[in-house]
Amino acid sequence: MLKLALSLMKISTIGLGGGYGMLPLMEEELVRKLKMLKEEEFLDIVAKAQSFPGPIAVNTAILLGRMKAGILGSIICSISIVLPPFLSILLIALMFEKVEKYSIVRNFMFGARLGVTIIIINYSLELIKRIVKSRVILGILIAGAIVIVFFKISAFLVFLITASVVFFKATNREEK
Amino acid sequence: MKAIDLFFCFMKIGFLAFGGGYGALSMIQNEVVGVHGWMTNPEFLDLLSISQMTPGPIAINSATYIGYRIAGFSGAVLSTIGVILPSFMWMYFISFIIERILRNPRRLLNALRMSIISPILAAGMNLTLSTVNDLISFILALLLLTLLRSKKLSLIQFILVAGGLGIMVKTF
Repeated sequence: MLKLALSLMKISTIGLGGGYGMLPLMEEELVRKLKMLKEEEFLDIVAKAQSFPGPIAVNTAILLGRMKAGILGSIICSISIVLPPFLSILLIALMFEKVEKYSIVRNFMFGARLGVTIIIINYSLELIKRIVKSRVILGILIAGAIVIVFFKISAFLVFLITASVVFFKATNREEK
Repeated sequence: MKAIDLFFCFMKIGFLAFGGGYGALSMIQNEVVGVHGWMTNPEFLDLLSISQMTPGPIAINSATYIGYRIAGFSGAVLSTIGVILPSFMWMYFISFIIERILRNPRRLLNALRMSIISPILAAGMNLTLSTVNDLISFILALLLLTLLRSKKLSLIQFILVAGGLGIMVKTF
């Protein structure tokens, strides 16, 4: 258990690029090096971690911990995965407050803001390409986005409404 | 108490954050910038650039950073706990209930994962409206989109390049 907690901490210290970037590292470390669990067990855990809400890395840590030591294991594992980024972000937030007044930092952020905006736009386009198979559903999803942006309606509400429409639509089609 | 508000706000986000980090981000943008007005869009984008470039899950990084900016250390702690607590509920209870009740839970989960596109697209549109506001930023945005789609750079390298272009454009 201690070994698992320590390797999760290590992975989350070096795992750049968010949750998806950390999964291959976990596989390498836990399945290949430490042989704590089998390949299939790991893939099952990842599949479940991805299907339900929440950060994938945290969900995976919770399930890994449960396999080894129940709820206590889950708590220890999720703390191990959260603590390194928590501390590094606190440090960076403190530093950023000091440097954000410099013009070079402001100019860098001008470009970086555009970059991140483009990343999000591109990500939604790729999601559409990958998982949306019907034009009607695409229309519903785009309408949902427009409603959120221009009518200032809560994203939660729109999300729940579009999800139920999409769900019933998919169900109807399969029953016909 | 802002820290307590943050806690409940991030719990709500964690509870409905289908589709991993970007799903969570779109909800965070909507809540923190739109509903509560705790941050502006540019501040939110600064935070995103920073969390892309640092290790760790993006949803956690954002919760910690926003919590800290808005309510100091206690805000950082409560927001981070708030965003991971729902994961426990899902992994321990709700996932079993859903798997028991529905013959085919995939279908519901697929609908939910598909629908998270609306909030993500909305966040993208919203951020575009606030960052692309003159000819220079428009040209830069098109350039960056082409660069990103060519898939030659990792996301971290991409943000560094974007920042570098920002410095060039603003200085010369």
